[in-house]
Amino acid sequence: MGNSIFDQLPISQYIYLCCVLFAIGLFGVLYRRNAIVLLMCIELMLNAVNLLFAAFSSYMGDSNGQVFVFFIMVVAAAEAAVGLAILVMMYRNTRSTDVSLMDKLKG
Amino acid sequence: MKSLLIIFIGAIVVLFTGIKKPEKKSIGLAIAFLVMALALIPFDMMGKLPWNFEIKYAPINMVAFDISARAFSGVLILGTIFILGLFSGSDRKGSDLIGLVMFSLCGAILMTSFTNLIMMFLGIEALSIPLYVLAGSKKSDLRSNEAAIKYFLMGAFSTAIFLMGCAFLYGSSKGFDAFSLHDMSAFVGHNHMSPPLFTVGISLVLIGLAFKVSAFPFHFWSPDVYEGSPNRTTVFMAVIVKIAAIAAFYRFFPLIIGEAQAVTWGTILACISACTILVGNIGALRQKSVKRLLAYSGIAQAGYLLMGILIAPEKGFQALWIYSLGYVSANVIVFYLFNKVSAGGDETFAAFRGLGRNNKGAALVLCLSMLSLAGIPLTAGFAGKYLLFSSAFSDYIYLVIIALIGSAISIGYYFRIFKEAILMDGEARVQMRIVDILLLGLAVTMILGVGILPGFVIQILQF
Repeated sequence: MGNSIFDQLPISQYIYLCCVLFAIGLFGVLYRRNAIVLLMCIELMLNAVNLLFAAFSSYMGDSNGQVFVFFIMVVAAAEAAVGLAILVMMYRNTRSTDVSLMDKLKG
Repeated sequence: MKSLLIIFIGAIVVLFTGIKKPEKKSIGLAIAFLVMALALIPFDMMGKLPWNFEIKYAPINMVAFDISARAFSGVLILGTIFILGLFSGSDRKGSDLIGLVMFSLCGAILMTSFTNLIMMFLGIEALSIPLYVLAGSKKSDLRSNEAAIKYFLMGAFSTAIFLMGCAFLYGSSKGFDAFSLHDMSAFVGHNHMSPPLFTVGISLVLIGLAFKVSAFPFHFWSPDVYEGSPNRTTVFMAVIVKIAAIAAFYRFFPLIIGEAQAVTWGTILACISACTILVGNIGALRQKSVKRLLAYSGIAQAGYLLMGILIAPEKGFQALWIYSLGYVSANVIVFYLFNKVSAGGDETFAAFRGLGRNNKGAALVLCLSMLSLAGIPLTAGFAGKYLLFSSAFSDYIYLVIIALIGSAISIGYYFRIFKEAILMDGEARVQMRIVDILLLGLAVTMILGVGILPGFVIQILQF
């Protein structure tokens, strides 16, 4: 890998960036209560994973990682579609997107 | 592969031919497809055993239908036949939910047969996404909404963690098929290293799987989700999702854990298993709702099933298979009877009152499945627990002791249902159709057959 981009920016920097993005998403899911923000945080986590796959794939010169990225994108789109549908259903019944209102189930 | 294709085509056919008909009418068609898929399992494509890596240059398929994959998919398809046949009371228009159940089953079968992390991921998602919809299928019921949103958030969250683990594994082992993962773990073990990327990758993937199995630190979502979901979805989650996740765990664990690290990771998994058993059984003791009780009992059973992953591949596989046969049939029976007696809206133990006087047969079947879940001899639950405990005894003696204590606790809450059904007076009544009686008979035969002749049932695997 003579004049590749990894000479200027080593792979560890990509790993750190992806870990930070992933952590932002993770803490967002744990601390925010608005369902739409939660969805966005989950998307952020998935995109951090995508970025990491693309970086590793380019670093190793192996295209398998990029194939995985396509699968993740497709599945994330399907998941977002179902998630938004569930959210609309919840909004119709409670007139709110606050997940902390969802506390009917206790034991 | 053939059975997977049959189920997938069946799901599409059921979805489109049943648009205008009531849901009840498409169940027959769905069951016909499932029976066909079940009959095709013995003729399915052969593949290598996941723990046999001698054949280095064999073509790498992304799925391999080896003996364990076929055995577990058999259990899963059988379980789905029970669920669709026994929970067919609904008369709403459209068979979308039946189609979703079958799509979900496709994902479950992929989870039993992957040899590549891509397929494992697709299996988990194909299993989960239809289930998010199914959990919220009572659209105007707030409890169902809550179950759906909780299940969706937890599922998507755990998928993201699982994928992060996959990315780390990819970065450290330069691939995500069974061979490169196994080479990497052998290499790591051979050189006594602990590369951070690889270790973090394994931990994150195991966390993602533990969410799906509902093992100890990640079990908190399951009682809420089970309670809020409609009954058919709850039993599908309790039976199919759990067995599929355990099968995936069973297939993944030996790939990634080389012999040198087996002790470390084995100890961690043994701790998780012990905590899961204790948390599940102790949590179940103080429940009032039957569905929550069954959710906690499912957590405890997941702990026992995790023991099967710790022990050597072949023995562990036999024990897991026997245990999952008993688990599926007993759970299906309990949920069916609960679904019938709780039709009035009462979801506590009191719903079972008077079953012994009004329906002697139903009460007998209920008792039998409770005995099997608690692990009393001559039932499938005992045979499974015996195989698990006896093979884990030499290496993990403390785990076996904790599991025995857990089983003793579990008798307490299983017999509470038992007591309500037999000794108390009440209005509980069960109207059974011929199909229900046939399917319940099959489930009872499975419990007793596996319980009395476990050796003979294991022989079936050698075909």
